[in-house]
Amino acid sequence: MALAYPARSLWPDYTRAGIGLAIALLPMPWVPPGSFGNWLLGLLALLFGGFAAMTWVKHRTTVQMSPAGIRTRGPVGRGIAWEALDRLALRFYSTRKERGHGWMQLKLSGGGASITIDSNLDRFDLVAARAARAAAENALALDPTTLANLESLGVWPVDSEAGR
Amino acid sequence: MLTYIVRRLFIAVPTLMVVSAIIFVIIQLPPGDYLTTYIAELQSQGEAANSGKIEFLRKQYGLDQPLWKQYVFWVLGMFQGDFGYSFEYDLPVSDVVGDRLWLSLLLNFSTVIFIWMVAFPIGFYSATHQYSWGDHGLTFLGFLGLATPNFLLALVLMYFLRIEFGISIGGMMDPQYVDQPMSWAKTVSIAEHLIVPVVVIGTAGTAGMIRRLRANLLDELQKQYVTTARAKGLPNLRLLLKYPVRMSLNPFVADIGNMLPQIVSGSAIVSMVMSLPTTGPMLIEALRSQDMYLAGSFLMFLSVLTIVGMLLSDLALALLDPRIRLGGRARR
Repeated sequence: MALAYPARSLWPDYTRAGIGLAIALLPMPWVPPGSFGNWLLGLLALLFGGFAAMTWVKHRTTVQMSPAGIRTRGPVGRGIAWEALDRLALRFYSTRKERGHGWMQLKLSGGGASITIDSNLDRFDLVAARAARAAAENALALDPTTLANLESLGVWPVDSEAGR
Repeated sequence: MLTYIVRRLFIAVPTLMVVSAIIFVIIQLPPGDYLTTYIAELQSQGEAANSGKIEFLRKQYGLDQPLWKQYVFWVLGMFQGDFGYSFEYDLPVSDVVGDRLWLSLLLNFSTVIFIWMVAFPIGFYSATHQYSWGDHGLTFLGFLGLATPNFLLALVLMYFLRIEFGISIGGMMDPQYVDQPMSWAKTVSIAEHLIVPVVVIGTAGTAGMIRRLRANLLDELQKQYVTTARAKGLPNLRLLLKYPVRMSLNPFVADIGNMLPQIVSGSAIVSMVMSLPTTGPMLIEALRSQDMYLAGSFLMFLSVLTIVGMLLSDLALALLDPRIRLGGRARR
């Protein structure tokens, strides 16, 4: 099964990167070189540049899930066999005080590789469910934050028959 | 995490821009400008204002320009380290503020550290020894600290130390070190004079923090995972430090954003009472005399502290506890 980040979910991030770069780079001519303002704007430009690059990498990446493992194909391709999975962390981020309209990030590690998947990936819940099942099969100790987030997705406790 | 930082910055930067515009409009709202106040002061003293000179000053300081132009010059100037000109002191704002800013920062960061150092062990003890004599005693002290206005505490301490010990605790250093270059003796003098203001300003914050930490830790200690870990025989201290304490640190971290500006503005009255050469009294004087660039720079400094503090505390919270809340839903 091959999954990708839908372009419509990435355009807001491209827009943020563009506006951020404009805010950081446009005032540069008026700021004396070497000043605090210059460093601050340079740092912001680097940050937004890095974010643009990261969004592009996501845009070009597909995630392939098979009974044997999970693999990303694209500029940064990596693979982890489910049997080798030794770490699973599911984080939730939101910029709002009431913690609404946030997004999740799934980090998988094993066999010397690590893969990070954001929740705007198509069928993210399937990936999280399969990873949770692999974690249960490998008897991984999951931290309370990850457990709470998996529960909120409805993929924990693992249903051993589901997703096979 | 980079996504979180970028999205969070996307809230912080426009907020800062809007706040800077609001600040500029607010300091322009009172009728007239600094020169009008200056003319009125001269007239009240029976002196005549030279209209030619007033016009010259108005032109020189850009007060004859449209509001938006003054704002743009002010903001662009800040990027270059030029915060404008203080009419009252007849000096650039950065020169007027000078050492006061560093002394304020020193005082306020010392206060934050004091609050954390005192509140953390007490809150921890109160929660783990709930309803013991120690808990009751510390709770009483906490309520006392919350209820006592810090300027009153400053006055009582100043009176007590002067009458009982003959010690003067006003100022941030001994008079002989004022306007002297930094030296070891001056550093020691500043450190000695820092103790009382830090205790006075930090008392209410410490008391509030103890109450919140105690309540949060008690909430965590009653959760199922703690009961399970206890049933599995995990040593008590290890269990406490592993998750409940980590989770109960949230109010410490979340408070950074509120604490920084509150301490800066809240210490203004204490600074006036204790004759501390910090930025607080200067801000009040600048607002009173419509010294617009000085007042605007101070207000901008407070806003930057608030927004940067909120940003830092949100980033730390995202690292500490990236957990979905009931009612919060993930977006795809």
